[in-house]
Amino acid sequence: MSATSRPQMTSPPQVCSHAKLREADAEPLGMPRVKAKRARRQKRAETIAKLRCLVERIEGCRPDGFGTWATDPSAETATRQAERPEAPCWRLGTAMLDDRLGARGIEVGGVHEIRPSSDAMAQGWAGAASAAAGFALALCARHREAVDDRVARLPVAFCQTEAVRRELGQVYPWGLASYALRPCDLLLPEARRDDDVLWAAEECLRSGGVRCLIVRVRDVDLTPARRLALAAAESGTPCLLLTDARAPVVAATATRWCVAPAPCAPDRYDADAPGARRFSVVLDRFRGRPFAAQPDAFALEWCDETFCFRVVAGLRDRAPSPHLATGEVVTGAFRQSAHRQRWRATAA
Amino acid sequence: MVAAVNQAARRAGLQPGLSLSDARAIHPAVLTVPLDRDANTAALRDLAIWLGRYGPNRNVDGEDGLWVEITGVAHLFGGEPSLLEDLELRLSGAGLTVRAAAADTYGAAHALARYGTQPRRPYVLAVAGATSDAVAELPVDALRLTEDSLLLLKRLGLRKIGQVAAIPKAAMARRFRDEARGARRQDREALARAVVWRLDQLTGEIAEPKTPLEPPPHRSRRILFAEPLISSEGIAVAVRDALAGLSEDLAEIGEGALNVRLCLFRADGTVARLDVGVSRPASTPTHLQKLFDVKLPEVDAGLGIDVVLVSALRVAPLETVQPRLRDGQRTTSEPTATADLVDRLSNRLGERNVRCLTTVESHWPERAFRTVAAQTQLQRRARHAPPARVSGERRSDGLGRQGNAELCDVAPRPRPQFLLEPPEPIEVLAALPEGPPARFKWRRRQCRIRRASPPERIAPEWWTDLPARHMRQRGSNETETSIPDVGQGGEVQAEGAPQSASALAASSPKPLRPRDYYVLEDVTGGRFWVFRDGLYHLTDEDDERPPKWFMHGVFA
Repeated sequence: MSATSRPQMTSPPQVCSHAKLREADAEPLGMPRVKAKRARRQKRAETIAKLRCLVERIEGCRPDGFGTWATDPSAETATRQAERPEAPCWRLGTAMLDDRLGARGIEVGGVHEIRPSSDAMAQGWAGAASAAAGFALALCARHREAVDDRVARLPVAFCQTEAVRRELGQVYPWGLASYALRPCDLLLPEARRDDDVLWAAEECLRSGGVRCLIVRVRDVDLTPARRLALAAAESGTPCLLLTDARAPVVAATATRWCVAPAPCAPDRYDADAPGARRFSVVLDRFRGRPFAAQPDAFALEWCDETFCFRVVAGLRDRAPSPHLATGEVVTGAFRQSAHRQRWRATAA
Repeated sequence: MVAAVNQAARRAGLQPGLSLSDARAIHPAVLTVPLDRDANTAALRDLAIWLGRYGPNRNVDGEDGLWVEITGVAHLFGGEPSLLEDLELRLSGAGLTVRAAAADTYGAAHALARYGTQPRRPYVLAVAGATSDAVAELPVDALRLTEDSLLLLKRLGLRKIGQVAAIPKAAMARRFRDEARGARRQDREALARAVVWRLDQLTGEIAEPKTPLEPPPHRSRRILFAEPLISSEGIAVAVRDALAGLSEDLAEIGEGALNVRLCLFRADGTVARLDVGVSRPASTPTHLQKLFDVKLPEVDAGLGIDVVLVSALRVAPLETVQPRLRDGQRTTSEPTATADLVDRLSNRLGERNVRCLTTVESHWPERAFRTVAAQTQLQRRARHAPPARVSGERRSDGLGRQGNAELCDVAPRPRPQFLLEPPEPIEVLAALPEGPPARFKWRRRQCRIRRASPPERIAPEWWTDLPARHMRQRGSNETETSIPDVGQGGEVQAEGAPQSASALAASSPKPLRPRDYYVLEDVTGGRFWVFRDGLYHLTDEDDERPPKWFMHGVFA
């Protein structure tokens, strides 16, 4: 299908030629500069439309991020949907977020980078890194619902280097239940060097013998990242990449999440004890929505009973004492923008 | 101190055991080389491996000996005398001075090799059935007894083995009792028992099992080449053929290989060894071949490969797989995919670096889990062997298989997802000495605490920790008497060691103290699991240590 036959073209060519003829009749002289400008603009719009179509064909979804094309069911999209008619999507378990993620949810066969936010790193490496790991485990738990029983029985691989294990701790089987994992669900390959960890990660992805893969490395170069992405796409196994906030961002990722721990609400039965785990998450990159003007920020709470995320509402879930409430609960950008629009409307 | 001398030095009058200055006084021009025990051991081990040409069961014997079992082998060399001649010829050709002996029992061969002589022969051979006669003239030192026993025997005038053997066993104990008046009664009886025991071993009345260097292979396949192979493709093809043969041999008896050793004999006499393990037995060698293909490029072919030998060191019964009706292909089920993955990872990263988690029934946090090699775990399952037990009952045995106690692995209180090993000490500032910390300093960083859970007190397991002395004793006994299982078994035990009760009891002489665990959340939201080791109001008279704080885990 050629790019020019798409319906989002700004002006149909027949109309254009008619208009040109009429213009030529009515204005013999005097306005050449305006005409040239208009032609340039039109040419630019055409080029952008072409590029957008190209991007869409590469990415397989609408450029503005809201799912697939509703008005133009292209052949490719139709076949893709026919292949997986009832496949459950990898979603976060809360409607507001899932709307933002689009109709297909998070890409199953892709690399997802999860990095601790640099502010959190400044305040404590272990806390930030383990919050990132927690978010990865939570995503992994959500992924379990997106696969069938056959795949759900496969183990989850957690690859890291020996040094990182010593620094951030050994995976403890008794704590895994809050992320929907049994002790026997984990496979723990370990290597001395980052290269070997990446090799092991690629092997895990290509084998199809793991349900989900979590890799903790310092940083990933361009080529290994691309290899991981290809392996993940080939096997349909997601790869959750835990990286360092100080390292450059990884290329070829489907999503990139910046995670920081967030102060939690008090426990339901004990006002002094910590309640459910909270993360403040920024969705930095989301393939399929490359033109996002500003990244989305969410405050999420992980429910370890239903294994769902919940969006923390700024007003309802604020901390009880005022001096702790300031700036600690991140309000979702979505809610913020809606709020701002309402304020503008009342001001006008 | 002189440890060993060569022939020339011996002729000059030097002996092992002299001090260096004495040796220099005897012969000023003596040349000395520092003793390298590790190199000696390694060389002896290499020699033991080479000894495999005379029999599969062989090993290093002490610091200066080797033994090989030649039962049913001697006829291949034309009888025992020609075997010994062959052995002596080859070793002396390599520049080694050898004292070789063959006898019915290990004890007799040991004695003859060290103390026996035979006229006009470089070796000593005790004819079958005539062991007692052959050793009768040897000194009692050949009996492998302690110094005390030897002294006692000599004091009794018993200098030759024949003299000792002539005494009735009942009378021997009585004579020992009378003679050794200085020693305690139990010691005297033990001395008498030791002498009788060694004599029985010598004559073969008590069996004396020896641990061989490596377990004998179940099946092996050997391919010989007239011309040495040099190209890597040729070697790969040869290995593939040998593996196919091995798999056929094993499939005939309904087994599949789990651990395979590949020996490549180079033309210059050296041997390259490659070991590969798989998690599931297979009737076809394709998976094994893939694993070897990864490792083969690392092998230095040297002058070329003469012989390719593959042997199955460990096998398991084959599973019958239903071929798919439609396309005749065997279905690749996911457990197979996982097992293959574990094999590939273990092959490159090392078996002990690919692990899975198991839980142990224990309240003490660091004892409540173990990590075991994933491949070993899968192999156990393939061999239908029970999972290894450390202490307490195992509930889950790792990697996807779990009993009906699935829900039991949920801890009653929150537990961290990452556990620090060992716990790291922290500096704590608490409002109350027995209350939760208000702030702490960990890894040179201050953390201000915002929320803290009520404490969870975990007391040491008195049934394992209280008799710490007893546990220590039992632990040491276990290490002495256990025969190391060659292969994976030993490694599993070694892995379990840090968590095992005996190791903890041995490492910390003071008894463990109860701990109060807190879940803390700092102002940024990081969540930690810290504990106070010891209590304030419960200080024993003998335990004056003040309570200490430790960071034990981080919540994900």
